[in-house]
Amino acid sequence: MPNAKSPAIEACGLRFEIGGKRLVDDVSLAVPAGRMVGILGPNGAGKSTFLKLVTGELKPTAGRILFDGVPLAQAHPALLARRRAVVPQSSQLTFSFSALEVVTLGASVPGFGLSVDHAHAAEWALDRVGLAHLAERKYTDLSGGERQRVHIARAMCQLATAPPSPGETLLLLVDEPTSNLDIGHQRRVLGALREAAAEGAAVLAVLHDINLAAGYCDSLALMREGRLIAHGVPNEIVRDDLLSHTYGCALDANQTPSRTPFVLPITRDAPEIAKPLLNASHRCPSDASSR
Amino acid sequence: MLKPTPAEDLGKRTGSARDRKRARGLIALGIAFLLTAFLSLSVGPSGITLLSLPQVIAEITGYSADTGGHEALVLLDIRLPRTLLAMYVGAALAVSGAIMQGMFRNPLADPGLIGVSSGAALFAVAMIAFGDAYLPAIKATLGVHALPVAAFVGGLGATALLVGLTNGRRAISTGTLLLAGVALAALASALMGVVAYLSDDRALRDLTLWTLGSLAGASWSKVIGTLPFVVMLALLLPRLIRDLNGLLLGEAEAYHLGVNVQRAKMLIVFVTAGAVGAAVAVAGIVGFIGIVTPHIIRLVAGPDHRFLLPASALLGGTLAVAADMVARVAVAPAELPLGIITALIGAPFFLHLVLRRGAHA
Repeated sequence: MPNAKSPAIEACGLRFEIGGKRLVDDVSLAVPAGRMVGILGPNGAGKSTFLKLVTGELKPTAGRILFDGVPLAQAHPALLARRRAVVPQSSQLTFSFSALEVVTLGASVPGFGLSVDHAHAAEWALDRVGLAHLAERKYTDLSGGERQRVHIARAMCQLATAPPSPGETLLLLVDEPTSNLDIGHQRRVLGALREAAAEGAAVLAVLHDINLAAGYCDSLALMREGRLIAHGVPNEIVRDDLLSHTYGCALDANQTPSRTPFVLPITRDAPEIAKPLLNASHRCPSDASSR
Repeated sequence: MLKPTPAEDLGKRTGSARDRKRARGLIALGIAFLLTAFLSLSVGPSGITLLSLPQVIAEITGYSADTGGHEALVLLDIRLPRTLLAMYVGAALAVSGAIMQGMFRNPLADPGLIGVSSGAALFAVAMIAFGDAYLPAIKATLGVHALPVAAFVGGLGATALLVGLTNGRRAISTGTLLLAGVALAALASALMGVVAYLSDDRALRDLTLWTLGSLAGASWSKVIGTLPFVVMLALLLPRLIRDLNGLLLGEAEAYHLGVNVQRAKMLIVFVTAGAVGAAVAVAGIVGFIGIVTPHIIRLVAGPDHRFLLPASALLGGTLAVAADMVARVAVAPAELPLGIITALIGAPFFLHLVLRRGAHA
């Protein structure tokens, strides 16, 4: 997996403490160009905090982050924005931009004079997440899932309009992109991230859904209580013992015929409890229904 | 995925159609701005109208018999500076409102409501009351700029305090923002009371003027005193457009889009304090223009600052000039303070906004 050159994203011994609590504890992780890495773990494991350290939003207490071998701490925000797009878990936007305008903000990086190319890139990105028909709809009128897709389109628009510079990998950092989406849009969005990686970008995504992560990521990093406890290809990570230990409950991992691992959120005896309920149909009291 | 396909197949250019519509809107607002200004020149208790303008011009250029210069005096030395200052005050307050709302991500931020104007007024009053006695060198050096600069410093202090108090919060809630502003304004007016107590009668009269807001004292020296701030706004506002659009998404997202957030916030504080300070120095505390104007523009054309800032400046100027006309003729030959007119229109509007937002969030 390691390239001849340094990985696109490299976190070395990252630690983050706040109020005496260690939220991220000595995490080292590398994402090579052209790969998609998923971060998994239970609630409060430090996944989002770790991602915020990588985006530069938070400053680590110890350790450092390198993009193509260059320390993040030395990067100018404007130059960084030309190669690195971030999709946050939620947004605070309460002003009534249209969906297309929000996406176009992604193209505003190099300067505020927008070219036709930028407007085109925004329309393309919105179409890519299946929202072309809502381009003129107000952002504040969109559903949670639609808003999430708008922000993914914004990040795609940002990278699409980024001026290419030699020796720099495009970076896409995503926090729970599918949490509000139905299964069709989950596929659409993760497929788009997958394609970004295929085009050479390095993608780092915090994911909640183990099965989606196993199906789309090149490798999975498992976090618990601020620590990185395992990192490997999906088949190495989605295992009974590892997942049960990480999530603190008994989990059975399995595989599809094409050897994609998966896990269902039920234990073996759960179907037996459910069985009698399946045949029980509800009967309304006769006197209540007669009126 | 990282490169869109060539441009043909994606159909209509919705983005640029909107830009054309906005450009037409700006032209319409510009025309309204100039028309109101001309109207303002011909309205007043002296009965002199714009019809006497040709004669006045002939008089100045020396091609006409001297009629005693009364009309020229009214038009050029009283109404023209007053109209120019009303244009500035309206534009500056509307733009300050728009950029504060962007920075705080809250459409109810207004320099008058959150204490920036009060801070500026406090320092202006202090300069009037104590300038001659305690800071004669500074006052003499700054000349006509002494008052705007003092108000600028006061506005800067109030804004910096507010930003410092709310720094690092995610979206600042309306409640926190308004209450912090109310506290700041209360503090400033208490201190103004101290100044009034310590000062003589003349300063006391001026103090009343500041708190109500009026352009009755307009003069060319005030226009000149304001000029540096007009230049500052014209130079700095265009730099803020992109940053403000990014900041609407949140500070972290703005940073991800390449905005230097801390620098942008400092620049916004500086620009607001300057614009509001100079407006307060000439007109005292004029409320609600900064909240009503950007709200109307956003309602019609959305929150994109590329359009919002210039449109707010034009509409704010138009509103202030119109309000000042009303102030001059409503109870002629006496006149109402400008701040009373803007509050009579703006306060119900503000109440409506607060109640409607309350239902949503």
